[in-house]
Amino acid sequence: MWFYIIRRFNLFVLTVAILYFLVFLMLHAMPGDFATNISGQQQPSVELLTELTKSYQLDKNWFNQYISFINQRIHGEFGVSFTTGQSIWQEILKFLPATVELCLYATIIALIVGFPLGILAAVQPQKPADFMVLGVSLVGYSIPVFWLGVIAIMYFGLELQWLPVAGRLNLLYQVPPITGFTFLDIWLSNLQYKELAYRDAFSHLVMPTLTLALIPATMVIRITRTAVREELNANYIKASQSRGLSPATIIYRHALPNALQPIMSQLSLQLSTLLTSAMVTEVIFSWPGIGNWLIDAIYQRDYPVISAGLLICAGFIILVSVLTDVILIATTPKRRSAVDGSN
Amino acid sequence: MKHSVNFLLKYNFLPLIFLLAGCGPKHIDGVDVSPGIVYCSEGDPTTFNPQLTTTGTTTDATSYQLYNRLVEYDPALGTIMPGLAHHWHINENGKIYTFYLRKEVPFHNNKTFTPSRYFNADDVLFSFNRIIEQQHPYHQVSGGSYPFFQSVGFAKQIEKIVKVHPYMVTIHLKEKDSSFLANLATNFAVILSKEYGQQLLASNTPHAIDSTPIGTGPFYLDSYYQSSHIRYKPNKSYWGGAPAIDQLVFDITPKSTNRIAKLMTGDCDVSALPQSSELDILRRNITLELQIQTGFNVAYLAFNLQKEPFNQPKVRKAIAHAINKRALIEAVYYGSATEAQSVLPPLSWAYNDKLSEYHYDPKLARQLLSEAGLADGFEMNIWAAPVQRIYNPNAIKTAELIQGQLAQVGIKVNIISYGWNVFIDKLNAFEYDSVLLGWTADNADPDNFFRPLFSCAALATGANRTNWCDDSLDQTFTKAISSTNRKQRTALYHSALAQLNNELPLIPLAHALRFQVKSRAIHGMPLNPYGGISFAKSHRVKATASVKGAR
Repeated sequence: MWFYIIRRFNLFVLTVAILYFLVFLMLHAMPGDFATNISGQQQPSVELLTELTKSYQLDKNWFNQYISFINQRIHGEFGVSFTTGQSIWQEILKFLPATVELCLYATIIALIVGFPLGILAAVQPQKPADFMVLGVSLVGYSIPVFWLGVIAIMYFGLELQWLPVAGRLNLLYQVPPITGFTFLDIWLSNLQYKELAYRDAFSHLVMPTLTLALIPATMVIRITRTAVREELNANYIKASQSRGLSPATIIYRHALPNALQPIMSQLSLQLSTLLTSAMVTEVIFSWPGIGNWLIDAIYQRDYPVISAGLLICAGFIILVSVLTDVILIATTPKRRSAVDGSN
Repeated sequence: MKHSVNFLLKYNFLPLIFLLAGCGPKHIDGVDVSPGIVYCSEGDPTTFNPQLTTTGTTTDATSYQLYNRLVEYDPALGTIMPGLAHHWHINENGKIYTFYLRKEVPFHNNKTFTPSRYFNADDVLFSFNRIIEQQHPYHQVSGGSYPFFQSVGFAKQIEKIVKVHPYMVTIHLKEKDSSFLANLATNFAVILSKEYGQQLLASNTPHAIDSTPIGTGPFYLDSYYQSSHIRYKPNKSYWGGAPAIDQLVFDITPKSTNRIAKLMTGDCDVSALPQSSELDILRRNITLELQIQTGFNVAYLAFNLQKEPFNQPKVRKAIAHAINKRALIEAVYYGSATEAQSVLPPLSWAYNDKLSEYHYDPKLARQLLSEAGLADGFEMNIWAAPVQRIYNPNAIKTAELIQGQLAQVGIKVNIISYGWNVFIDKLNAFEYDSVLLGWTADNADPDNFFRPLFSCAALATGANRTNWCDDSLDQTFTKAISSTNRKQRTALYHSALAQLNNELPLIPLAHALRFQVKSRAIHGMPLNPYGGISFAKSHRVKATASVKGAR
């Protein structure tokens, strides 16, 4: 087990090092002065330039530069943004919670909707319910996020005026950003009408979350269906059926727990898809998250922000996939032995 | 067996699905909670001191919210009204302005500053000396650039400012200038607190005077989150009566479509700068009100009169006859502009409505060209500004239309554009044949359209794009400005307009309309033609419809 974790950790370090190297190359290739691009300091004074040269070892060879680049970044030193002049790390801390919040709620909805439907389709193979669920999930999977978002804005926002179309909270609620998570912040604030603020925050969440949840939900359905069907066909299920166990017990106690493993491992692979969709969703709904921030930076040619956003997003995906891998291995002896056995 | 599994699952999960589907939205009128107003603004202010800037975004956010001026301009009546000076008079030779200041006007307080005294003459001296005195401790703070005051020659104009007693100030001018009072009423001539300035100097943080502002205005700054929002709270002891709203939020929304969407869904109550192409949608929405006002601006095509063949008046007139202004207004402004006959908009009291028009007539244009010896046509370039301006939403599109129209009379047009800063630099070198630009007035005085655009002095400062000036015209301007008799001034401006119409150093194209969209529930917000938006008198009238979301 430990051996496995160490191997995963090595893999993680190596992948991140390659990621950093690519970003490092990208910064070199971007137009403008390398010192400016890497630090965000436009037209630095002589003292500042000396300091930058020292901290990024700009007078040394590329390998030294690369190492000190990693060194600066992993200490949270991302430089400053061209457009706002503020510390990029502070900006990341400001925008990341919004993205995490959106992705988290979307994932929860995807699981709540996807699991039951997936199971439903699995227990009725080749029946109308199965076809319905599969058909709907295929249609859902094919709908582009940006199109769905815009249609939702047009219909539910502008036409029916049921839901707000932009932002996280009506600005009349003065909620200081302490944690960055809207509901927590409202809870921590000293607002007089907290209940109304919660409702307003909820109404702002509905459309972006549902839009973002669509594709993961269809994936959960399809993955669950396949996994549960495979389990239901296994001999031990047939054995328990012949022993007269109730269908509910069979599903909940035997089939589902065993099907969960492949589902989880498949889902962790979908994280990058989720994050990409989240970026698009954020732009459409003016959600002040990391995606919106990054795409703005691309428009503004804010190179330090682009590189930082890339590192953060890609790093986050790598970290989560390694972690889920480790957790899965830790909880599934079957997989572990397979891996260990190959060594 | 399988059937029972199915049955069980169906009835286990279906309610859950329905439950989720039933999590439908409830319309929530959060705005019922607190009588505040949200304004969707187009960008971040660059500073909280309008003295330092001429950008509309900054003055909108600061000038009328945080500060007061000595005198105020009344957009409805078109006259100068009392501000922090409740009364003033000008001596006989027009060079000494005496202001009697309002008493018991409190400044704001914030976490670090609590004023110990009311507003008085020291604050007036502090605010203006900061601009005109190079050695003033605050002159160089925030860069030492005061673009509006530099453009009207404020420092050169003023001989001295004297505090006669704590509530009386005299300003001595070197030359008579009838636009002086109008300049004091602009968005930029705000009054700061001297006491705050001194406290900041003592604590060695002078920059804070422009970023954490203290003024006498109807609102004080509560918090500012860059690229997100600005929150103002009402100044309960405002001398003009406390605002009727609990808070004022500037929601910074750079994209025009997002501003409209927020307005329609109630996240915003008032929105800045709707685009001409969106006006139809706004007009159709019954909950919104579109306010329209002829702007004090002009878009023009200026010729470089030192270049061939534009030194010939006939060529300039031929081009004027070849341009279809109506078509430009339809295509570029979507109808949200009026045709310009002179640089001065019809709204101004000095407007001359007896000018001969250069109507669209390609035949006449060809005839004029052949009279000028250019029957075979010629090639010219038009420089078009790369950015959207109040007076012209799309200069490049305008240039393309003019390109097509001039091709009809045999003139081949090349369109040239650079990034905004490079564009201005190159303009100052007078490399162009003609340029599409414009002018937005800062105050109500007609002088603001003449001296900055046509005077010989403006050739040096770069606002005179015609590369031409005329001594007799300059004299007319000087005469007009040194007179305070409106009749006399009107006559002088009429003759200046006639002369300009005859010489035609530039072709006035359009006066763009100014727009503001707001929810019908918001009252007390007249549209100011010179820019600047004020929420001092705004309030929300509770419509019955807005109760539906209440608890």
